[in-house]
Amino acid sequence: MRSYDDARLRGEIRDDLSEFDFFSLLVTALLVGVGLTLVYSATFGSPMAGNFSRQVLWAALGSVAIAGIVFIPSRWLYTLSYPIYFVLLGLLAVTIVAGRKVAGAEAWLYIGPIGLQPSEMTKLGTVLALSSWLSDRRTDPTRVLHVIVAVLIVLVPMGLVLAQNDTGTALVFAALLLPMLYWAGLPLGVMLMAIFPVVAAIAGYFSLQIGLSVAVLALGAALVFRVNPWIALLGIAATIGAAYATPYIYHHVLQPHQQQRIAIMFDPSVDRLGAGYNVIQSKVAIGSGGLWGKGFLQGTQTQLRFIPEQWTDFIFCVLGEEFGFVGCVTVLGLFAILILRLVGAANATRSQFASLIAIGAATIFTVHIVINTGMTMGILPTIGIPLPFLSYGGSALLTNLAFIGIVLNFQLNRRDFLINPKPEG
Amino acid sequence: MTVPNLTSFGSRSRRYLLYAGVMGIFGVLTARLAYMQVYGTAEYGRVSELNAVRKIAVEPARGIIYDRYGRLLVDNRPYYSLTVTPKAFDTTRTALLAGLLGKTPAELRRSVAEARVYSPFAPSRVARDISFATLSAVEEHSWQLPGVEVVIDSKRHYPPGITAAHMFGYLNEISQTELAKRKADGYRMGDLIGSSGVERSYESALRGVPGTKLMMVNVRGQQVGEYDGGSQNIAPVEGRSLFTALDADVQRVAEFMLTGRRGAAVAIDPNNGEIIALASKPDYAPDSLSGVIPRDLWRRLNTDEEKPLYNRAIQAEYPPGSTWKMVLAAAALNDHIITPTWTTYCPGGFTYGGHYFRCTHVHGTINVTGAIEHSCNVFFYQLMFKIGFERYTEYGRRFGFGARTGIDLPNERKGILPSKEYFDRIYGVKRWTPGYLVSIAIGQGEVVTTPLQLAAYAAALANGTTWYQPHLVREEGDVFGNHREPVAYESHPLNISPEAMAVVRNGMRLVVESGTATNIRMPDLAIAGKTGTAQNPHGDNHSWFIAFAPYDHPKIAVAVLVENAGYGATWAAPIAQAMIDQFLNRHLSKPLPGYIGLDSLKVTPDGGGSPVAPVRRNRAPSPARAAAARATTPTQGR
Repeated sequence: MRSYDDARLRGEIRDDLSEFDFFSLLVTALLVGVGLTLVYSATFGSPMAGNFSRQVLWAALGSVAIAGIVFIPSRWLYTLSYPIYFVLLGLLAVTIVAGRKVAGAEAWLYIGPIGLQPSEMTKLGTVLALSSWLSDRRTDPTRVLHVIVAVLIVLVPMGLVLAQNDTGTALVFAALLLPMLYWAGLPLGVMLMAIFPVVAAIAGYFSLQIGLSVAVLALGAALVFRVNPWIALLGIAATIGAAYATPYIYHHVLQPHQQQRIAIMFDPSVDRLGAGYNVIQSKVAIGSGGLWGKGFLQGTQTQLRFIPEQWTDFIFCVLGEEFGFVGCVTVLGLFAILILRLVGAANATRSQFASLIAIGAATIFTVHIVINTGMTMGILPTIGIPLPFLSYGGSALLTNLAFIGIVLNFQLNRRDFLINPKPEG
Repeated sequence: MTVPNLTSFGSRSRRYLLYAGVMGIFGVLTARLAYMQVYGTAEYGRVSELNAVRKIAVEPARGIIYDRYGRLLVDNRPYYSLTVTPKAFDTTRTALLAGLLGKTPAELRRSVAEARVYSPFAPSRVARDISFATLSAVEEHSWQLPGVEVVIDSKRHYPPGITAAHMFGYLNEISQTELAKRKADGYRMGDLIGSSGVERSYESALRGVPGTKLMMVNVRGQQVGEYDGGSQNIAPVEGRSLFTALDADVQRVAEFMLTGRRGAAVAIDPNNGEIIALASKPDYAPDSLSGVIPRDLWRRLNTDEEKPLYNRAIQAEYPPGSTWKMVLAAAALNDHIITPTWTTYCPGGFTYGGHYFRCTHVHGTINVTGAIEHSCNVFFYQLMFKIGFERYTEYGRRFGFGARTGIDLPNERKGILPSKEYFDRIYGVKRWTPGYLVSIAIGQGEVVTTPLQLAAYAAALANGTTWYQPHLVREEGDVFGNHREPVAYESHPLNISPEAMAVVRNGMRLVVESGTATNIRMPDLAIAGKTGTAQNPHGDNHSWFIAFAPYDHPKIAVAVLVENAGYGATWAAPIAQAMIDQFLNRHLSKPLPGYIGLDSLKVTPDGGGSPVAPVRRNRAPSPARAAAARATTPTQGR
């Protein structure tokens, strides 16, 4: 039996908050507050107005979750990372079998009246498991087999999410892999050899010449970063192959309706009555907001409901229209501060496990922010993923707040939590 | 502990690269925001001030229906509706608007409240089909009526002269269940859909494909112009027009002669099964169900004892009576069970199983021709036992009985063709005796047919070789009659020898010449026919008549049913005769008292005769009609 003091001395319980990152918590709270304001406006006077009170409840629940996570012993998070990962994978699988379909994606699991999206929470589980694996002292990020295990940790949930028809969320999983491998020490050159074929495949859609010039870039990168010649050769060959394969597959393998779907991805105006229509409306909403915005509840685009489901994926339009450039830049600033604080936390901690989690959280937030705002501003294809802290949705909010809670926990305990210490460098 | 290989990258540069990446990403987003919200805000602001783009469905013009001579049977007319956008509507003007519409303020308040429940921001119709006077009054006060808009809708229009209500059918707002089924076809709430008749069976052709318009909408929800100069619009595809084989004159004659009675008349081209006329009475004025269906009218039509919504031509099932006799005659002659000269003796009645069955007269010694001519029951009672039940059913089937004809109208009934299996089912195996066959031999008892089935049967008797599937529509094409495509139909051979058929047909000729229907004999036209009387246990017997003409090269076959009219020759035969007369001579050689022809009604002031003739110039065009030309009417997207 151990006493409270005993536990305190072993660093499992803290009563000293001098190391606590109040600033990050404040930024998070501000973002959640902005989110609630926007959800209120987006659903004001509509049959969906109940979403606001539900989101308030989720935010309250999230606060409790943050408090709980901050004060648990850091070690628990490490011990539980794989179990959490596998439980969430199980939930995801159950969702595919028994889930409910919303907007074409089978992403919802209902426990009584509460709808959960395991795909959101699995992001957390995957970051935990991947961090656990990559920070393990036996793992060497330069060994092919170890990298493959890391890839599998991401690929399994990604495949399950794809099976739910949720391409956007699957993309987030894919995006997680490279920054985390990079942070774990995968040589930059090798990483570029993996990135260039993907770039060439996308470029090849537009023109073979552009696709092939990517191969030249790959060669340059291989020389600059002194990549292992065999890996470089493989990477360059894959780049050239991808540049040739894309137009061939597009024109000779894909059916017309599949071609259409890809064309819409790159140019929403092709589908001007579906996704394209939403983007037109969304751009008008943001653009018409001007410098200062039209004011809270004064956005005509928002209040006349020109954008469907604007409280979820298109919440940024509401911000842009009602609070203008100033409001948008403020929120983007808050996001930037939060992400930089996460990167800072990744540097400050001496635990590589904690460091990787911070980078994973930063990556997930960044990908969501870029894809979401890019879509609403019409510079990226329409991919339906929520804006962190701002979009309506309980599962996503809880997941994001849990990420913050975990990083705050590590910050608080950074002097004591030494699991998988980082290599000195 | 394995130290990860950091190659040339120290963790410091690694960190700076990450910082730079994050800053770069946010820099790009901010630049884009600045471009949209500072540099380009004027342009976006303009679109938004006109308050944005709204997607509006553009209904295609519904297909037109023509008769065989290219005369218009059904087309479209624009009408005005009034919409209110609840959010923009100034409720202090409720009394004013109600006054203009001739409603009570309470009624209007209720309509606006319903619209608000649907959507406070979308325009909803509060009044359909308003008069031009009302329209002008509303326009006059439009400055006091924000959120009130006039839209042009389209309704079906039926030229005067014929009703053919059951055949054309009507349109109704799509039901929730139908909507769920047809969502993939682009139907939306409030859309009209063919609910019966041709409107329903040809719905997908007539409807066309709706288009879309992106309209700029101002703060009051009023449309102020097209987005992007209309470049993003998708034009609707007009509905296909139907070119039917109907003869509007014959239809008018049939409807005129059935007026005041319950009955049906069907005329068919015996050479291909095309429907020339299909009338059912009582009916209703098809115009009355066009546009807005008045609720009390709808209730009245549904509860009326005369069942005006019921299409007797394809749904009434009555014993065919003596019109059935040719089935037995053809069976016996074709299978050489009797010869044309075989005779039997008719003492005026027939005893079987202790029951006595009366004949119409004492016919004495009689052969098959005479038995048809004079409708001798005794002859056919005896024939029934000679041919047997299987053959009875088999030949009935060859003439299309006991099955739906497959006419291009919904809800057709199939009648009953008795068979051993059928009797076993309804009476129980071995619970019925051959005595049960006596009634069905002369088309009474269990055997029931629809007027349409009898018309198809008359057509088959007329051409002597083939049963054709009756069909109304010859071709689908565009409104100008171009790009026509024929509508497919089926047929099957009767497999009855020409010799047998010749005897049967000759018997039918003698019915009119010297038999039971001499009242419709015409001096220079040989009509073949057969009277029938359907025994009715509930009241007066029903009168049947089937006919075809000219006898040598038949061009028209007819079946007429008049309920509770007694003997076939008296009521039904003159209707058939007038239809034949009108069809073959294109006028009535024997005038009907009180009858006014279509020509006098000026159904087609364009001159008719050609389907290419412009179809909506029946009245002087008003500016509003011109605006609604081709009745391509935008309706609010819902």
